[in-house]
Formats: sequence, structure tokens, C-alpha cells
Amino acid sequence: MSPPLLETDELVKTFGSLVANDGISLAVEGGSIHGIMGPNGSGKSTFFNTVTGFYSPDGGAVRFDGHDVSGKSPDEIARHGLGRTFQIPSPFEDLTVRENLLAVFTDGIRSGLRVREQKRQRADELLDLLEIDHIAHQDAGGISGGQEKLVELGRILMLEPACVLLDEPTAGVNPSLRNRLLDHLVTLNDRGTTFVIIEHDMRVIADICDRVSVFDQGEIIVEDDFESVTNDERVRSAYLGGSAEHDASLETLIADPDPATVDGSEPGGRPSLGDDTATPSTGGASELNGTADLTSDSTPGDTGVTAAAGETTPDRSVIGGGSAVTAATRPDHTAESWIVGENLTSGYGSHRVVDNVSVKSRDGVTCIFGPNGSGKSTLLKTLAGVVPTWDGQIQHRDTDITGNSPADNVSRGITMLPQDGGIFGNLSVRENLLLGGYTVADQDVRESRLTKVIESFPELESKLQSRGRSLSGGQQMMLSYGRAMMTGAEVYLLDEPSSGLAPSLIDQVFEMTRRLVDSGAQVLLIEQNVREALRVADYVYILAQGQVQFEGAPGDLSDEDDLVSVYLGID
Amino acid sequence: MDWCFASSRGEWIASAVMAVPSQLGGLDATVPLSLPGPAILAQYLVFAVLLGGIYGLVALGLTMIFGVMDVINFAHGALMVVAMYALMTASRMSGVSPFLLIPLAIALLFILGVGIYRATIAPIIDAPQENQLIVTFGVLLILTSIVQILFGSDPQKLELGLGSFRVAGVFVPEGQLYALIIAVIALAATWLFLQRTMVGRAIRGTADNRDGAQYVGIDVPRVDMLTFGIGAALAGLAGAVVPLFQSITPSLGDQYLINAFVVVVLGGLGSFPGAFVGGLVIGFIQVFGLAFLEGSTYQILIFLVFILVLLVRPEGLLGGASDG
Repeated sequence: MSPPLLETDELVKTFGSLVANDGISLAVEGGSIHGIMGPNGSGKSTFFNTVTGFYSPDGGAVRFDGHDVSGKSPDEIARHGLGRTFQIPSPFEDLTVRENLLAVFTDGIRSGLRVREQKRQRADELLDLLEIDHIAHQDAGGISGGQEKLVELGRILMLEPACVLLDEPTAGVNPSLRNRLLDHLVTLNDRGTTFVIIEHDMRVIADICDRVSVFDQGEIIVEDDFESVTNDERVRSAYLGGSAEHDASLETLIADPDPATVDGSEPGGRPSLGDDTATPSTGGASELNGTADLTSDSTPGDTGVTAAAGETTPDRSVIGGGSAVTAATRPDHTAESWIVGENLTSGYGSHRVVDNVSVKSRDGVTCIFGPNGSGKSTLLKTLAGVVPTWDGQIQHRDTDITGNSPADNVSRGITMLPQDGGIFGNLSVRENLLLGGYTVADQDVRESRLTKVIESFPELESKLQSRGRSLSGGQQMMLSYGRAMMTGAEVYLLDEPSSGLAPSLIDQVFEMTRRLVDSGAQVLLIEQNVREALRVADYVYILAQGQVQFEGAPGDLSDEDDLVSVYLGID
Repeated sequence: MDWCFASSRGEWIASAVMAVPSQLGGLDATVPLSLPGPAILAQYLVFAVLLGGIYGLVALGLTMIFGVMDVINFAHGALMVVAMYALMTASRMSGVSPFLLIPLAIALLFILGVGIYRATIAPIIDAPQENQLIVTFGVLLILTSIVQILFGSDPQKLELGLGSFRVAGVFVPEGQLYALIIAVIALAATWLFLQRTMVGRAIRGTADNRDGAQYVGIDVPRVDMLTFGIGAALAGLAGAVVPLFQSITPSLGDQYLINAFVVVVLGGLGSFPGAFVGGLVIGFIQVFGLAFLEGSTYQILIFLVFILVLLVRPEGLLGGASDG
């Protein structure tokens, strides 16, 4: 067997204390299509950047076509015949598509001023091959995202590279164009071009890759053909989260549906896996309403306020921004969805991220899973009003809130917790919390909520005067939960609150999420750690490529093979 | 803030600072060049604090708008000029003491600021920073031209009959003293507003994390509008006190503006205390430099200190560490 075309030997790349690539040894055979998969942050793009000279390696070597290219500049490496594309294509927007191809310095600096006939011919061939000849004379600034990807590929192919590294070539590309793109790749591969592909869409990997390497935390954990890789437990753990040992109290809190343990306020108990599909988590509301258990007061709401004021209100109102939601309306809302998004489409610029998605909040925790780039965060941001809705409608308690600003929505009782927590690093912890109650007009309500939140997070009490950014990661997460609770929302949109936290803290995140539910709120939760999140989920949506691939009770996902298939997009 | 912004302005600032001594009248005349005794040192000290305080006041609104909105408001000096002429005209027409008309100037400039924000900044708040910079520059030209058309370019003076008094052998010019007192009150009031009120916290929160602010229900565009209004009102206050101690021209704002930029960058962009510290530093260098150095050598010193500070602390003296 001939030596591999591209080979890395113990490649290391660090950023400060972060080891992004921790000794990656990968060999790509000439003429093959090699897939790279792995969860977010596993070091895939860093690997590409290091191989192609955009980063200089901190250790190890890259050999390409028999030459050591480690540490060479990107353009040198490209002229060696190792091309790459980027996750986000950046064509020369003011040039036409054809000019974009012609602009490639095929001969380095000797490309000269005149464009040679041979080069024109190559460009025309590629336009033809990639089926973008019909837009050859359009400005590249005005073409679709999918077409941009093709132009990007075409530009690289102008160099007649022996090997091309593709960073998520199908992300944000519509299915028909994606299939065409894949066909082109296969055609080019047949003609001798080697490809290495980072891809989140597992169908792509399954369809065209000869071999797959799975990255996790900067290392290759498995390398094999696709079939074997997806059946590998290590891969499943990397994607779905490890089945780590759990905090005992959390086990009982979450996994045990016994009302005695769960203080009766858990909506409908857990839908016993499998049987509750049609009406997930019913009965939660009435239980909530009926319970006199003080622990369900742990979330600040005007529940706490009225209690503090000494009023005896058997039918307490459920949080709800300190106003609107009265107890009287509550019993009718059993199984009602407070926030409903119908046929939502949204995105950034011309890039469609969420594509005709319908979601609802329900009593309890509604989890949104999906691979990276599937549109989960954008969906939540669309619901929160942070990202404008392109099409579709959002309703909150039968009111159309489609065009609302995030501020409007917080006032209505819809609060989003962004992925980074969004805390104010330079403001004190106390001020962070107080600002959580910004939409609360009544200062007394705000203060009493503050007291409640501090009771819920005693760890913050000694830190009240410290700046937000001086807190540890776990404390910052508590602060962002606490701040969100200060809004007194009835719908919480949580965007991966556990991301970036030590595993030991992840249980705490789920516990806090559970606490929100116990206070009567409906929660939409994005979570990467699927296995863990399934323990708290009452209903599940799975998104991929901006569309809902699955929705139903977690019980319907109990067969993990199905979960893996749906989650990784294997049909 | 990045550096190149600060250093590329060097030339400009030099020319402006050069113009300042004659504008901030009376300082050099009262300071004799001789070996200083304690009384004279005390005299310099008083002048330095007076001048520095006014510089700080001028920088206050500029730093606030930058801190919250990341907008460099070139129109700041022009807003001051509007306030100067508004105050002078109102005082002349009504015969009311200009001191009593200061709140009026503040209110007028607040409204003007909100109007400018809505008309010019709000539509492009998400555009690259240079767009806003050029737009505010346009506003500067428009406002200055309007004032010039209405009032002409000749220096005008508000006759207040303010002199100076002696305290323990030290001259204290009344106009500048009142201006300083007003500056200190303004600083304290703005500080309290930002620290103690929910709206103030919302402004600081927005300055700290614009993205995070929207998630707690802060209406960020509204906070921007308010911030620009308050920034303009502070420019109005600064402009309103200037006629208390010097004659005014439509281009006076430019000179103050450029000084304010030095002060703001020196103190730390976006930092409130930094604005005053920076103002005092420049005030001290200017007064003591004028007294002890040859000619206008003090200007070189200002920029030596400026460059030195930025080399050691690119974020400015109080930048980064504190946002007020």
C-alpha cells in the first residue's frame, strides 16, 4: 500500500491552557473520502487550521504528499496541493462568480496580470461541473448560501489540489443542493481528488465517506468505517453525554416519580417512558395549584410576596411577571402550552437557520436536542424575540407576539437564558440580580424576589458585592439562573445552561431547571448532554438542519439506537 | 479602545491644545515665571484643579456615550457650543441670570440629543463603528454651521461681572470656581443616578453586556436613546458653564472636544472616574507646564504622558478596571 497522502503525527495545538488538539495522528489515503465527526469543541476545525497552516502547531508534524509541511504558511500549503474550504464561505462579493474562480492565484505570485486561456477554460469547466454556470456572471454577493459553498469549492479546485479539506460543506445548504454537492464530491473523488470532510450531517458521512475519525476533546477516539463508528459506545458517549454517576439526591429527585419524594409539585410525575405520548405531562397544573408545600415556593414569584404579606391566598398565582397570571386562570391551563411557535422560519442575513419549525412549551421540561448547527439556539432566540421571525407566528397565551422585542417578552413572562449566561461581569452580583427584576415595577416585589433567589442560591449570598465576573463558572451559572428567576417568568428558554461547566456541576443545572418547573414554569431546554437531559425531559424535540426530526415523549426515544439514528441523522 | 484611534489623532490634539491657553483666558497672565514659593504653588494648584475639573466635566458625556453604546460622539463639542449660545441668548433676552438658566440648557440639550439619536444614530446602531463616527462628525459640522450662521464667528462674551477673590494669598477666579462646583455636582448626581436607580443600573448593564441586557427585559434601544440624551445633556451642562469664565466662539467646541478625547482616552474610555482623573492630569500638566517650562513645551509633555500611559496601560488609567 502506498504511503498516505496526508498524514499527521501527534499533532498538538494549544490555546493557553486549552489543548484543542492533543496528539492527533491521522492518515488519509490518496483517493479516499475521509470523514471527521465529533461533538462541538472537539477540535475538528482547529485540526484543519493547523494542518493547513492557519495555526502553527505546538507539536507534531504534518506530512503531505511526501513533504513535511508543518509550520508552512497557508498559501504555500495550498500550492502544494492541499486546499481547504471554510465553514463560512467568503466569496469576493463584488466579483462575479466566474471572476471569483479566475481570481485564484493558480501559480502563486507568478499568476501575473493576464488571465491565461487555460485558466479560463478550467474555470468554465468547473462552473459546468458544479452546475453553477447559470450564475457565472452574477455578483457573488447576491447568491444563496448553498451556491456560495459551491463557489468556494470551485475556487479551491482551481488550484487542482490533490486533497481538499472541507469544513462542514453542507451546513446551511438545502437538501437538494446538498445532494448535488455530494454528487459533485463523489465525481471529483472518482477523478482522483482526495477529500477530508468535517461534517455534522451524518448522512453525508454515511453516504460518501470511506473512513471516519471521531474526535472528542482534542483526540481521535475511534477511527473506522461509518457503521462501526456509530455503534461504538465511546462515540455515543461523546455525542449523547456519558452515563456518569449521579448525585444521589438528584437521582431521587428526577428519576423517582414517587410524589412523596418529589413534594407533589412535579407535573404529572414523569411520563412513564412509552405510554404518555399523546398528552405528555398532564395534571401538573392541578397538582401545582393544589399543593400547599412551601418548597414549591422556592422560586421567587409573587407567590412569595403574597405569602410574605401575610395574605392567605389558597389559589396562589403562578409567578408570571408579578402580574398577569392569576390563580383563576391557572386550572384551565392544564396541558396548555403557554408559548407556541408555528411554522417558524428565521436566520441571519440570507442564511436560513430555522426552517418551518413548530414548537410548544408544555408543563414540565421540554427538551430540544439536535446536532450542532441544527438551529436549536436560533429557535429559542426567535421565540425570545432576539432573532427576528422571517415567517410563521409566535403566540403567548393566545396573543400574537411574533414581532415582540426581547424586552416585551420578558415583561410578558418569557425569559431566555442565553448560552453564555449573559451576566453583567462588571456589575455586582446583587446588581445582576436586581437587573433581573428590571421589568418589575414594584420595588418591594423585586426585593422580596431577591431574598427568595438568594435563599435558593445560598452560595451567592457571600458574593453579593463581588463583581459577576469574579465568580466561578458554576457560580456564574447560578447567577444567571437566579437573574432569570428574578424576571418572574412563566416560560423559561434555557440555552445549554450546562455548557462549559464541570461535570460535577451538571447535576446542579438539572436540579435548578427542575426547580423552575416546580415553581410552575414551563421550560424549553436545549441540552447537548442528551442522556442526562432525558432524565428531566417531559417532552422532546429533535432538530436537525433547522427542521424538527422528531417530537414526542422521551419514552418514544427509549431505544437508544433510534435516538442515535434520529440524533445523528441516519435514516 | 484601540490605540490607533488614540495615536492617530495626535496631530489634531496638538494643534488644539495649543489653542487652549488663549481660550481659557487669564491663566498664563496671572502666573509669573519665577521660583515658586508655597503661595505660588498653591496658586498653580488651584488653577490646575479648576482647569482639570472643567476638562473632566467636558469628557463626562463623551465617555458615557462611548461606554454604553460604543459610539464616539464627535458632535459632543458642537453640542457644547449649542448650549453656550443658547444660554447666552436666553440670558440676554430674558435678563435672567445665566446660573438659573443652566437647567434649561441641560433640558434643551437632552431633547436635542434624543432627537439626534433617533434621526441619525438609531438607524445605524448596528453598522460598523466608523459609520457612527462619521455621522456624528456630520452632526458636528451641521450644528457648528448653524450656530455660525445665526451668531457669526466673532467671540462673544457674557458680561457677568465675575471677578476673583483671594483666599490666603491665592487667587480664585469666580467663574471657574462656579464651573468646577457645578462639575462636581454633575459628577456626583450622574454617579448616584447610575449607581442607585434601576434605570442607571440598566444603563450600566447595557454598557457591560448589551446582549445580556436584552435577556432581562432591558429595552436596549431605549437605553441607548436615554444614554445619548444624557450624554448630550452633560455636554449641555459643560457648554453652559463655559461662558461663565471665557468668551465663546462657534469653534470653541472643537478645541474642547479634542482635549476631551485626550482626557477620555487617558482616563480610560467609558470610565467615569477616569474622565475626572484624566481631566486633572491634563489640567496639572498644562498649568504647571506653562509655569515651569519654556513656551508651550507643556504640550509635548501632555503627549509624552499620554503616550506613556497608553504604553503601560493601553486601556487608560482607570479603563477596564472600573466602569463607574
